[in-house]
Amino acid sequence: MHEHDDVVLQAINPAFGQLGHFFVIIAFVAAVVATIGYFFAAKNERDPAASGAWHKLGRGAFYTHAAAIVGIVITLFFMIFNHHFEYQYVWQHSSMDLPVKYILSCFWEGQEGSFLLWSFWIMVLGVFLTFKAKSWEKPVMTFIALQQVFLVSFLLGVYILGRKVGSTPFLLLEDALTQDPVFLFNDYMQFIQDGTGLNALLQNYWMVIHPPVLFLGFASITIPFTYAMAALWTRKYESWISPALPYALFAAMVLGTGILMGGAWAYEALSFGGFWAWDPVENASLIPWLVMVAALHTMVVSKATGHSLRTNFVLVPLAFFFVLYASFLTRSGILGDTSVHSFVVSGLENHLLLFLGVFTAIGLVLIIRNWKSIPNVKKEEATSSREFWMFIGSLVLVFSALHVIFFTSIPAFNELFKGLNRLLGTSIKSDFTAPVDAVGYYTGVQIWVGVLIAGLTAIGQFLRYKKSDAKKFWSALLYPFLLAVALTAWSAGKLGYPLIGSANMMGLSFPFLHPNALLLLLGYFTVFTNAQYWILILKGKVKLAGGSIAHIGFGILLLGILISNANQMVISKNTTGINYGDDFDQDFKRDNILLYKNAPMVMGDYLVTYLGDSIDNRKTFFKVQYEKVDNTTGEITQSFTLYPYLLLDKKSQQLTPNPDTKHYITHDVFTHVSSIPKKDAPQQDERTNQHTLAIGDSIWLSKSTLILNDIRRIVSNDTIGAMAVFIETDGSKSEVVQPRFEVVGNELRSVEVPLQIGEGGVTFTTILTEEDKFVFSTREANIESDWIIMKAIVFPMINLVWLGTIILAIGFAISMRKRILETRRKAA
Amino acid sequence: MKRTYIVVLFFLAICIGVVASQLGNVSSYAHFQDKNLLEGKEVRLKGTLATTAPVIYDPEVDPNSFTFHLLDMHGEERKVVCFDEKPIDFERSDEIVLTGSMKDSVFYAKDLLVKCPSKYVEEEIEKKEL
Repeated sequence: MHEHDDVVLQAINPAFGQLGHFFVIIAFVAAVVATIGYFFAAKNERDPAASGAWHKLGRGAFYTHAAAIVGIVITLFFMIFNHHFEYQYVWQHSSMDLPVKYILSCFWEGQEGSFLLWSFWIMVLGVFLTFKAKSWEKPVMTFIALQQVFLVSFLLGVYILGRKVGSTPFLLLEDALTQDPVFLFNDYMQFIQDGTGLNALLQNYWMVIHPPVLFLGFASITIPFTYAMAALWTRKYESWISPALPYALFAAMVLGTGILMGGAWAYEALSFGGFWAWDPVENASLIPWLVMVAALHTMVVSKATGHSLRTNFVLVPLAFFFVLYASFLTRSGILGDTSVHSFVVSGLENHLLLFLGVFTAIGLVLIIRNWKSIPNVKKEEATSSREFWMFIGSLVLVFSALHVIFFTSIPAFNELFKGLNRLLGTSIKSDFTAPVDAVGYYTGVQIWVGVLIAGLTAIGQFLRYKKSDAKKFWSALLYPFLLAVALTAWSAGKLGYPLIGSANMMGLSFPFLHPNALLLLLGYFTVFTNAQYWILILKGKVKLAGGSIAHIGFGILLLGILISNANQMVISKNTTGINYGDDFDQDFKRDNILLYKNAPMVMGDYLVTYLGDSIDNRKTFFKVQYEKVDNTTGEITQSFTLYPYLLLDKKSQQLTPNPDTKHYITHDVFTHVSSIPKKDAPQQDERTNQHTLAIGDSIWLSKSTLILNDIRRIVSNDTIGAMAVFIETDGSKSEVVQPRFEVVGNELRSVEVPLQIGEGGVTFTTILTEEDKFVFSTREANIESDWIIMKAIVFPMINLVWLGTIILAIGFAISMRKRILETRRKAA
Repeated sequence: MKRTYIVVLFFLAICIGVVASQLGNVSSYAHFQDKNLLEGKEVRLKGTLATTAPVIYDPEVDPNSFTFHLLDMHGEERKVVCFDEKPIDFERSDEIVLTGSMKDSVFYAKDLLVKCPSKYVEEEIEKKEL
C-alpha cells in the first residue's frame, strides 16, 4: 500500500442511508394505513361516528406519508449534492464535475429516482385533494393511497419471503457490488473519489425540466381515474364528472406540454434530427394523452347532455391503464432492443406486472359489476348533434392510440409468446421485429387520423347540442373554408407539395387529394373556424373560449408538424464519394459532408466554415461559422456561429455528439458533428481537388482564396489556348496567379503554377466550351489534417410546433378555470 | 341496434383492418440465408461485429458510407456496406441491427441501429491504485 497524502479521505456515512431508508419504510407503512383508513371511512359512510374515526386515521396517515416522501427527496438530494459516493445511486448517477444545474437530472436518471418523482407528484395531488375533494375525499383517497403503496414499494429494497421487493436508492456501494475486491479494504473510499457520472445525453436543460412535467402529467391522470373508480364504488355515476373534469383538463395540459418538451429535448440533444421519431418511449407517453383527450371530450358531452356516460367509464380508466402499461414497457427493459432511451433490464418486471394487474383487476371488476346500473340515455343522439360528432372524434383518438400501442408492443408480444412457449411447450414465433420503415409506417396511418381529427376540430363547435340547424351550420363554415382553400393553394405552391397524390389504404392505392395538402387545408380550416367562433359567437371573451383556443393551438401545431417535417432540408448533401451504383441511389442519403478546417463550403444559402475546436472539461466544441452571401454584391448579409460538441461520457468513455441549432422565427439551422479524425492520424497532409468555375467564382483553400478574375485568350504563331487570371488573397494581401491551358503545335500543355500565399499549386485542366466554364485542379501541401464530418438541416417553421403547443396548453388552462368556477357555483 | 354500436363496430372493423394489413410488414429478424433476403427483398437483420475484418471508414474519401463484416445470428459472416456515417465508437458495439438488402453477397444497409453498450457496461469501480 502507498501513502495517499494527496487524497481527500471520504468517510463512509451509513447514517444518511439509514435515515432515507427509514423514510421509505414510514412512507410505505403510512400509505398502507391511509388506504385502510380511507377504505373503511368510505365504506362506513352511513355511520358518521365510525366513518369520522377512520377518516381521521386515513388523513393522518396520508399526511405522515407525505412528510416521509418529502424526507426521502431531501435526503437523496442532500446525498447527491454533497457527493456521497459511498452510496450506489449517487456513485452511479453523478460525479464531482457535474454542473449543479444538472443535479436534479441525477434524480430521474435511475429507476428509483423516477419512481420517487412519480409518487412525489401523486402525494402532492393527494394532499391537495384532502383539502378540495370534500364528499369525494374518502373514496378517491382510498385509491390514491393504494397507488402510493405500490409506488413506494418500488423503493423498498427489502426481502419479503425470500424475494427482493423494489430497490432502494439508499444502498451502500459495498452492499451493491459485494464482489468487488476494493471492499476488502476498510478505508475503501480512498479509491472511490468520484462517481461514474450522469449520462451525457441527459446533460441538457430540457432534461432538467421535462421529466418532472411529464410525471406530473402521468400523476394527474390518476385523479380522474380515482374519481371514476370512486363513482362506481359509491354508485354516484353522474356527479363525479364535474369535480373530475378540471383534473382531466389539467392532466391533458401538463402531459401534452411534457410530451412536446420531450420532443424539444430530442430535437436539441439527440442526433436524429427532428422532434418526433415514433420512438417507443415517446409513443408510450403519447398514448395516455390521446386517450385522456378523448375521455375529456366524452366527459364534456356527459356533463352537457347525459350521453356517453358509460363511455367515460371505459376511456378514463383506459387512459390510466395506458400510463401503467407505458411504465411497464419503458421500465421493464422489454424495449431494450428497439428504443434509444428506455431503461435496461431491471428485475422489476413481475413487480410492475403486479402493479398493472391489481389496478386493471380493480377497474374491470368495478366496471363490470356496475355496467348495467350506469344510467344510459335511451334516446339516441341526433346525427346533427355536437355530442354525436364529439363521440366520433373520441373514437378516432382511441383508434389512433390503439394503433400506435399495438405496434409499440411488439417486443412485449415476443416476451409473452416466449413465456407461453416455456409454459405450454408450444413453439409460437417470438422474434418479431417492428416494421422495417417505422417512421413512414406510423405516419402513413396517423396522417389520416390527423385528417379526421382536424376536420372534426374545425367544425365541432358549430354544431349544437341535441340538434343543429343545417343552414346556419354550412353558412358559418363557408368563409373560413374559402380562406383555407386559398391559403392552402398558395402555401402548397410555395412548399412544393403535390396537390394530388395517391392514397394507400389496406393495400389499395387510389388517386386522392394528397394527404399532406389535405392536412394543410384542414389545419388552416381549424384555425380559421375556431377563431371565427371565438370572435363572432363568443364575442371574443377569453374566459369562455378555452375550447376554441385549444383547437386553434391544435391547428397551428398540425401546420407546424406538417411544414417543418415534410419540408426539412438537408443542406449538407454530399455529391462526391464512393459510387455504389444506381440500385442504391434511393437509400444512399449522403447527408454528411467533410469540412476541412478553414476551407469554406457552400451549403444551401450559406457559406459554411469550420474554424477549429476547443476543449472545455469533457466537451470538445467545434466552431462552425455560417455566412449568407449576397450573390450580386458579394456582401455578407447574415452571419452566425454554431458550437456543436462531442461529450466524453464518463461511464462508458464514449463520445456522444450534441448538436447546436440557430433559431430564427421562420426556420432553424441544425448542425450536428458526427465524426472527427483520430487523434493519432498524421497531422500534415497534402490535398488535391477539382473545381469547375465560371468567371467570378472562387476556390476556397485552407490558407487563401482564389478568385477567377478573367480568362485571357492566347493566340500566337504556334500556340492557341487560354490563361486564367486568379487573384489569390488571404484577406490582408493579394497576389496574382496565372495558370495556362494551351496547345503548342500538337502538344497539350497545362503546367501547375505555384500558389503565392498558400503552399502548393493550381493547374488549368480543361475548358468546357459549351457551358462557358473552366476546370482547375488545386494541390495544397503541408496543411493540417483537421476536419469534421457534419450534417446540417434547415427546419422551416418549426416555431409553429412550439407556438401551437403553448396555445393548446393555454386553451386547456382556460377551460379548466371555467369548469372549476362552474363546479364552485353549483356547490354554492 | 343502436347507431352508436354500429359506429363503434365500424371503427373496430377499420382498426382491425388497418392493423391486419400492416401486420404483413412485421417480420422476424432475418439471417444471411433468409429466403426474403435471397429474393432481394428488404429485411431487418441482427448480428454482431465480426472481428476478423477491419471496419473501414475513410471520411476523406466518403463520409457517408463505411464497410465492415457482420456475423448473423447463425454465425455466418458477410461483408456489409452501410450507407451512413460510422457512429463514433462503433467498434465497441455488441449488437447491430441493420435494415437493407443483399446484392452479390454483400449486404447493403440503409439503416443501422447499434445497441448502446454504455447501458450494459459492467459495473466496475475505477481503481486509482491498489
